[in-house]
Amino acid sequence: MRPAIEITNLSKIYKVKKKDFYALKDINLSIEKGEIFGLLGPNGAGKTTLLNTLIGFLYPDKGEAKVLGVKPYSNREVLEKMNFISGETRFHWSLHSIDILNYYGMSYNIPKKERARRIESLIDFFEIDRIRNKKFAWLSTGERMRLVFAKALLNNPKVLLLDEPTLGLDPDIAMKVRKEVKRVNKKFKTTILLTSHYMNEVEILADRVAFINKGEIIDIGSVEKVKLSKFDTYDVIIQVDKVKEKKDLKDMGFSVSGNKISKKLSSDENLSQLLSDIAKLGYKVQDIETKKPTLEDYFVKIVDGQKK
Amino acid sequence: MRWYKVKALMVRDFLILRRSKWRFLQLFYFPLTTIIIWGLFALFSKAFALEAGLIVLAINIFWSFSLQSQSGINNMVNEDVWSGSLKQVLTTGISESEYVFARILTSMITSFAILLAMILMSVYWFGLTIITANIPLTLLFTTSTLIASVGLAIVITACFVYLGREYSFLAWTALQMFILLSAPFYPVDIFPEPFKTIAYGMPFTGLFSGIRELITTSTVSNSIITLSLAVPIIYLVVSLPLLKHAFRRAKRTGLLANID
Repeated sequence: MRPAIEITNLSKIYKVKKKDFYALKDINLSIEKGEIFGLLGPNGAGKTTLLNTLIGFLYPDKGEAKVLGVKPYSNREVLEKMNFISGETRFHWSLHSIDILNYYGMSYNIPKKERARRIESLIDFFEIDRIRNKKFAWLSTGERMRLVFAKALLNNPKVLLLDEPTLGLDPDIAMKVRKEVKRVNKKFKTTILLTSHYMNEVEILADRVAFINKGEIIDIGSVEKVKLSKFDTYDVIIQVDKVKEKKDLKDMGFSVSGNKISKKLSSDENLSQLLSDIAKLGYKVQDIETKKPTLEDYFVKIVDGQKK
Repeated sequence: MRWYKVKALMVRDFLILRRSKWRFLQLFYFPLTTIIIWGLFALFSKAFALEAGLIVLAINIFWSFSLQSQSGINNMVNEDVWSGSLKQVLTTGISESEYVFARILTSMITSFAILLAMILMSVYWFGLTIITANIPLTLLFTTSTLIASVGLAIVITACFVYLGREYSFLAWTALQMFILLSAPFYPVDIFPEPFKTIAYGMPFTGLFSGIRELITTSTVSNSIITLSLAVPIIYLVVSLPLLKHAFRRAKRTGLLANID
C-alpha cells in the first residue's frame, strides 16, 4: 500500500548573503495511511517549511514530496482531500463563524444538505453554537481554535496537517481536541501529521515521531525508540519493607535513602531479573517506580547539545 | 476552472460586504459624490463650455468605474492578506487563476452596479444623454474600461505576490500612474513627441479619446475604437503569464508561504 505522505531527498535551499542556507536538507520520510506522526524540533528547525511544501506553498529545490501519491505543489486538487490548520490560522474578521464554515463547505463542494448536517454536528462537538453568529474578530483565542478545528474536519480529510494545533487553548479544550484527533484518526483512518511544542501532546498522540533540527531529520521512529536513542539509562526506584544491609544493595549498584533504593538501569537490562535479585536478598518489594526519559527530556538534551 | 470554487469565494466576498454595511455605503459614496461634483460643474459650464463639462463628467464616470473594478479586485486580495486568511483560502485547493477570477467577477458585479447608478444620475440630472443615445459605443467603452482595469488589477496582484505585502498600496495608487499619460481631458497631440508614443501605449488613451470624440462629434472613428480595445486586450493578455510567473516565484522563494 502506498504511504499517505512520501518525502524523498527533499531539500529547500534559500540564498542568504549569497550563501546556500538549507531550510530542509535531504529529508526522507514516509508516513503510512492512518498513522499519527509527530514532527518535533526547535523554532526555525524546518517543520513549517516542510508543512508548507506539503500544502503546495513551496517548491522543493531537490527531491519531492507526495501526499496521497500526488505532488501538492504541482497538482492542487489533492488539497481537497486534506486539510491544514495551525495555531495561527485566521479567517476574515468580518465573517460570522457560520459564514466561515459555510464558505469552506462550499469550497470543498459538499452538497448543501450534507454541508448543513456536517456543520451542525461540528458546531455541537466543539460547543461553538453561541458563537455561530459572532464575527471572527470578536472571538477569544479558544473560540477561534475551536472554529478552526471545526473547519479542518469539514471535508473529512484523508490527511490532516496540524501545525501547533492546541496553541492558546484552555486545557480542557486542548484535551478535547487531542481526543478528537485520536477519534478522527481511529474512525476515518485519517493520516495526521502534527507539529507541536507540547511534548506530552506528541507523546500522547503520535505513533511515530521525527526530530528535525537545522533542516535535517536527526531521529525517527516510535516515541520510545526516539526517546531512548539519546538516553542510555533510566531510573528505577524501589520501595522495600526495610533496609537490612546497605552494603549488599550498594554492591548491586543501588543508592539507598530510607527504605527506598534506586538505580540507573540501562535499556537492555531486565527489570524482573533485578527484582528477583532483590527478593533473593530477603527484601519484600512494596512499590516500584520507573522514571523513563520523556520527549521533553529528549528535546532539551538535543537542543542543549546543539547549542554547545 | 471549477465553478464551485469560484462561486464559494464570491459568496464569501458578498458576505463580507453584507457583514460590514458601512463599507457597502462607502463603496457607492465616493463614485457618486464624484459624479455629483462634476455633474454640477457640467450644469454650471453649460452656458460657456457645454462640451467641456460633459467631457469631464463622462470621463469621470468611466474613470471611477475603472478605479472601482481594479481596486475592488486588489483590495479583496489585500484583505485576505491583512486578515491572515489567504493561506486558508488557498489550502482549499483553489487554483491561483480561480482565486483571481472569483475576485474579478465579484468586483465586476459591484462595479457594474456603481456604473449604472453613475450613468442614471448623469443622464437624468446632468444631461449626459449622449451616453444613452449611443448604447453600442457606451457598451464598447464599458468593455474597454473593464478589460484595461482587470488587466491592470492582475498586473498589480502579480506585483503584490512577487514583491510582498508591503506593496499593497499599489491597490489604490497604481491607476494614478496611468492617468497623466492617458490624456484624459486633452488630446495626445498636446504632449511633446517622445511622450506621444508612450501615451498611445496607455490602457485608457483610446477610451478617453473616444469619449471626447463622441461628445464633440457624436461619432467615434474606427482607429480610436481599435485603439480603445486593442491596448487593453494587450494588457490583459500580458498580465496572465505575469501572474503565473509571480506565483511560481513566490513558491520558490517562500514569499507565498509567509505572505500572511
